[in-house]
Amino acid sequence: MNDRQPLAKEALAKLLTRAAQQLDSGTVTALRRARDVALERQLQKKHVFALSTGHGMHWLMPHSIHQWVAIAILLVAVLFGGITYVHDAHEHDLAHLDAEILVDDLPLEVFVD
Amino acid sequence: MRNSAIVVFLLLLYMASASASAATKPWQSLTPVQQEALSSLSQQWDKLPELQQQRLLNTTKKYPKFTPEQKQRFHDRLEAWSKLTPEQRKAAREKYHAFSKVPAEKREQVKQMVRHNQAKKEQTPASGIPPAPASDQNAPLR
Repeated sequence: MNDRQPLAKEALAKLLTRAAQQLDSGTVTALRRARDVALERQLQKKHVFALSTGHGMHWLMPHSIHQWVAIAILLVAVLFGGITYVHDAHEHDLAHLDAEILVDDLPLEVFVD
Repeated sequence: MRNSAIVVFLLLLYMASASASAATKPWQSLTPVQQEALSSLSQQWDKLPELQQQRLLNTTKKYPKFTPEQKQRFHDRLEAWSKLTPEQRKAAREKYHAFSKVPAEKREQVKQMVRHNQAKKEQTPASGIPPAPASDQNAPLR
């Protein structure tokens, strides 16, 4: 049967400190290096997380009034261009249909009330 | 600030050119092909609204590819077409569009029917009395 009592946290910490003091300098250096590497990796992970929440895209947002004005003008231009394009496409379709009616072998009266 | 001013200027220039292109076009400014296609409207062209002018000009884009028979139909119908109201033209487009979706076989039947009716009308003299059949003309008088 296992008659050992579980170690208290303080006792465990003391044991670890004593054990660490007994380690040779090479082992201590290797452990420290491993700790540094682990901390560095943790920092990198945190950085990626920050980017994914949108903080990395901050530069895309306008910062000044001029930039806001420029963005607004750009949006108006895109909107105007879009409306013009749709209007032209509609007019092109109508003209195509009109030309077909005007040259069809059925007389105009068939389609006009 | 200077960049914004340049963008505003370019935008205004673009809008101005777009609206200028929609203005009425005098008959003399049309190309020879456009003038040939729209020759039946030469007298009233300058009085037509700009939207109608623009639509008629768009219809002439295909004119050079028409056959001589199609060109003749185009000329013959253009004046009547331009005199229709916008609502009548819209209704005609809708009818034509609906008719173009009818199966080709039925469409041909309708066309033959229309041709038959037209031929009948052409044979009927202005008096409205249809001419006697050819066999009757040669028959002896009773």
